Amino acid sequence: MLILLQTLATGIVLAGLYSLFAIGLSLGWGLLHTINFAHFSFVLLAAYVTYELSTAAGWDPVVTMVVTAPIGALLGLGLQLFVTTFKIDVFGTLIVTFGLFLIFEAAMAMRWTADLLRLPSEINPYFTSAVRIGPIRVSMLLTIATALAVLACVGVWWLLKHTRTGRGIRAFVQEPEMAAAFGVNYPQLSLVIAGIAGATAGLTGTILGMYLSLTPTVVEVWIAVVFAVVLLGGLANPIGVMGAAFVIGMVESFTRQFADPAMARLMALVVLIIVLVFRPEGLFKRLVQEARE
Amino acid sequence: MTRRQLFPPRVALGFLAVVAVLLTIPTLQQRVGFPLYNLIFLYLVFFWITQATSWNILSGYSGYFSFGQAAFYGGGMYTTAILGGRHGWELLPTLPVAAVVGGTIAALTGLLVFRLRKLSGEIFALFTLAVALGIGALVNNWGVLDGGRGIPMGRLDYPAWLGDTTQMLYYLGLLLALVAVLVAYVIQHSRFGAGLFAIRDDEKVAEALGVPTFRYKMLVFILSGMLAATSGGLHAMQVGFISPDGAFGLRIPVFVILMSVVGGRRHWFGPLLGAVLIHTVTDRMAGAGYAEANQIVLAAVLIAATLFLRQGISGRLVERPVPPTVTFVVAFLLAFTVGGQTAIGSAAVAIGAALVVLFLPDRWLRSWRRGTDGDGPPAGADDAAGPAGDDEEPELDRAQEAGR
Amino acid sequence: MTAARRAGWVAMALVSAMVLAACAGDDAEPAAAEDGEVAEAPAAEDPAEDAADEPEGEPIVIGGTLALTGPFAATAQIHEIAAEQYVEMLNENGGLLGRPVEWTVLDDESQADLSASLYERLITQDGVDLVMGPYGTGAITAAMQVAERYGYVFPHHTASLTYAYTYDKHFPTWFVGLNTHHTTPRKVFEAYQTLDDAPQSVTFVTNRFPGTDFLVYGVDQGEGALREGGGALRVAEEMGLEVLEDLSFDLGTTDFSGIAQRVAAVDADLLFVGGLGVDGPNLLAALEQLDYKPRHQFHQWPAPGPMLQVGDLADGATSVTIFEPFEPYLSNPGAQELYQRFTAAAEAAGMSYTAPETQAGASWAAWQVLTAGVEGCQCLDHDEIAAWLLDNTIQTVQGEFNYRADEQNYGDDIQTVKQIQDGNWYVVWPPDHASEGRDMQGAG
Repeated sequence: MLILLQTLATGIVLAGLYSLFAIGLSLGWGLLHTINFAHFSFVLLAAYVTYELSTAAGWDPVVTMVVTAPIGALLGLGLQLFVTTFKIDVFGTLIVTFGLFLIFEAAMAMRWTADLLRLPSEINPYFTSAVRIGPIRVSMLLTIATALAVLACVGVWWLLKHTRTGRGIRAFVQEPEMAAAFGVNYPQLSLVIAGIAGATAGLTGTILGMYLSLTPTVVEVWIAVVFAVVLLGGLANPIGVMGAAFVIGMVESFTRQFADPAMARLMALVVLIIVLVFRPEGLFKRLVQEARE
Repeated sequence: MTRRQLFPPRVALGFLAVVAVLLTIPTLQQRVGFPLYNLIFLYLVFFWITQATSWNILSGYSGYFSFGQAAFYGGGMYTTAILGGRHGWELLPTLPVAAVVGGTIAALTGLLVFRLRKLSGEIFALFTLAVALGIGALVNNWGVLDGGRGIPMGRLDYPAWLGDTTQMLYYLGLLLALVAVLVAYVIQHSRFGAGLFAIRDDEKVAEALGVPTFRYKMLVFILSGMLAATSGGLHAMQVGFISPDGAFGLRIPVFVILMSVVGGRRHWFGPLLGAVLIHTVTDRMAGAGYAEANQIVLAAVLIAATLFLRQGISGRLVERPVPPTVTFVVAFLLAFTVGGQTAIGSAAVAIGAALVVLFLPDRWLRSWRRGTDGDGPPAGADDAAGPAGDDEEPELDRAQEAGR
Repeated sequence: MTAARRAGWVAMALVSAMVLAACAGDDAEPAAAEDGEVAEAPAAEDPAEDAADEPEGEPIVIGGTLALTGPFAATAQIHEIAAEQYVEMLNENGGLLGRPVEWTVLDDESQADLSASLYERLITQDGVDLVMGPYGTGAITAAMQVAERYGYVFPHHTASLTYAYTYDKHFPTWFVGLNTHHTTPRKVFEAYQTLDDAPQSVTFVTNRFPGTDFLVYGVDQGEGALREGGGALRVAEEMGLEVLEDLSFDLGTTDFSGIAQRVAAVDADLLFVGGLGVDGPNLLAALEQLDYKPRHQFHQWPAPGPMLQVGDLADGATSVTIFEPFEPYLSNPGAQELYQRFTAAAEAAGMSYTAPETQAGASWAAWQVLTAGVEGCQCLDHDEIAAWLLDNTIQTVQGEFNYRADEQNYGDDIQTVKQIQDGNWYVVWPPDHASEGRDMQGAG
């Protein structure tokens, strides 16, 4: 019984990290029609910034979020301006941001070389310490990620559901002409979303900067699982993202605990394929469609 | 509407001439004794032409953009590696098996995505990526296939008349590239191709016109898978050590997409051109320690091509063939004679120069064009006509024809 | 003109240009100079040097690839530095056969297939005189087939699939013995048996990566010239250790919580991590979150720096090595030069771990083997170099190599066991190789 609870807890914090990573991508895709492959680059760049500030300037790595989140937001804004200036369609954004991803990767390899960069444990106690709830222990770092993810997802959900900005955006995505007639200023609102999406990338980067040994190619292993969460979550549905991350996190956590740990990624992909075949719209509804009801 | 001839004499002659010249190269190499590496370089060009073309008949023609090329490439590669490397088969018999494996993976994936559900384009793209990564993870975990240790190829037997390993790779690579290009050419000029183009433009309209969309999509998916897998199987000989990481990783899909998008997805010639250009440039830059610079340049070309050349380079080239071709030849000769570069190095320089000319906006060239109006392309000189001006109308006609 | 016809013409033009280019022949000039990154023969004047030591004549070109970019680049730069330093040293001391040496290194981007085609280029286009193996099992296994095709002597430093290398002119300096999947774990378990609290049970955690998978699970009997099937897992059972858990994970795994749970739950005496790079530190961090510290822990190929950075968690961890910057290794031929040159260059390059250890030692030895062969036969003929290397004992920083043709050019497993004590790595086993004042330590 204890082992079940422990596995559940491990899965939940893993899900927290996944949803923090995926929420920005999901928002961009669902509300801005931008499939932002460069999201992964933004995350890695933020991770390197965290590394630099913590080692060179001696900051506490968690505090670096006050820098990485704005950097991420600026990158998000810049990309959104680029996409609207050139009027790139959904598919075009996938290719163009993929190009950006390659450029970022090469540029980071030039700046930080291929050496493994890891925060020494003296300045990064979060990596090895745990949060205890009775007999259950979970990683401190992932717990922070989970808290951030809940904040981000619930915050965005509230923004979309209950504010003028959110209603305007949803109305526009659904019926652009009608919304424009009612005075929705989409270009401005879209920048808000792009900024939020970018900021979550910055936060994710700080977490990964503390979690991984950084190399310029280290984010590649995250691509599959993050896209899986985005697709399962139903686009631009923050609660759905959390739900999907929960499903993937549980599948991985339980596989690692009760079966061959090497099968964890495979199981997650199999779940994705099965769900896409039977429910291509994802496990959860798109938030935009809810407005239609 | 008159029925077109599939191979007008000039096209047929062109194909024959190119193939005849290419076939003599290994013999020439032995007689004249120029560096053997040029053969290997050409084999790699053939390999990329085959992969990019195989991707393009699915993703370029029908518009279903796939990130899952590695599923077929890796599937074929592992077929040859397991049968040849582990069980001592000869090389040639493994290739048809690889084709069957590739076709089967494509058929199963196609059944899932085209029959059960109709996935939108973006989801299709990521679905194929998930399939490729999933197969990779399976191979990595299942000892019967690999289990993570990788497979050293060792030496596989093949008929002696194919020459040494390099010549064998050259001839078989050429054959596969030829088959792939012919398949792409024939599809483009047939009702089948017209149907695929109609699907790409608007699947609902295509269905309404009576295009058997499901059958066409399945057929082209399977063809694409077979070509890619056969080529992957042969390439196992060149790679030498097969691991799940290399076979199912992102490199192959990234490059075929790059090559086809840059070369042009609506024409059989596009991926061919893209493969030649990108492989030549990469070959020179990557090995020399400029891998990062190379990646940045290629990615920038990819972005520029997506934004400014919707038809890819081949579209622009067809529309405006003279300036880039002249630039290429002049730059090549200059680099080779004056610059003292190797042949492949000169080609890379010339390609760079020709690319710059290709991307120049039309109006910059207008003054030049006025001077040599006789040579310039008659139509399409006007920006307003757009890059598609040349192709669009016949395609619509053909779509209707396909629907009958 | 129709589109197709125009495209046809362009195709013709393109192909004829390529053919023209290919036939024009460019073997005349040594292309290496402009194509690759060349370690220049240094012109530095050392007043202490005799003028007679200055190498003269046409340079001898040695070619190879390394993963200068991509996922393996972190470790490959160690080999780049070692090679640069070795070639520099060679040229300062009269070169090879009295001729200066040039090293041409191309970037294989951590891709095995790229490595193979680049070796074809080095051999058939650039016409290098000699080759040096690339970094990493995949690239070496692929490149070796190219070397075999052209009959080149192929020294290599970091290939782990010993059974797969049947080429008669390959010379490994990852000198772990053909049956490393038996000899290596046996050596490690023997070291542990000397302890008062010798472990009675073991848990295996294995990365499904070619080299680590081979060591733990071995291969089916009869592959290559191997005498034994099975791997560390079977050796453990044969030596009376009870295997409590056997877990494997994928390359690229970052979340070790679940694995840590299971490791802690069975609480074996020894944790055997068949991992590489940063797998070890990641697993240890996950264990630390559970307040669990394994009593004994072995790591196959950890990145040395990150293991030290996790602090106390890794204290007492063991690994295998073929070179460490301590006596008696430092008395081996060339070891002092390696130690001084490598450390200085690694510091200049800003690397996080600057002492030469297994990787640099393997690299240096590979260059020593190559130069020994050339100087031994006083020639650049590949058959003669290979014959000389097989007939003679080769002195390297790792110790003596006796290449045995009947063992697929492997020999005795000369690895030693190292352990983290007081925040640094020391060699502790066997006793004749142990660093001064060090021996195998038990738990706490």
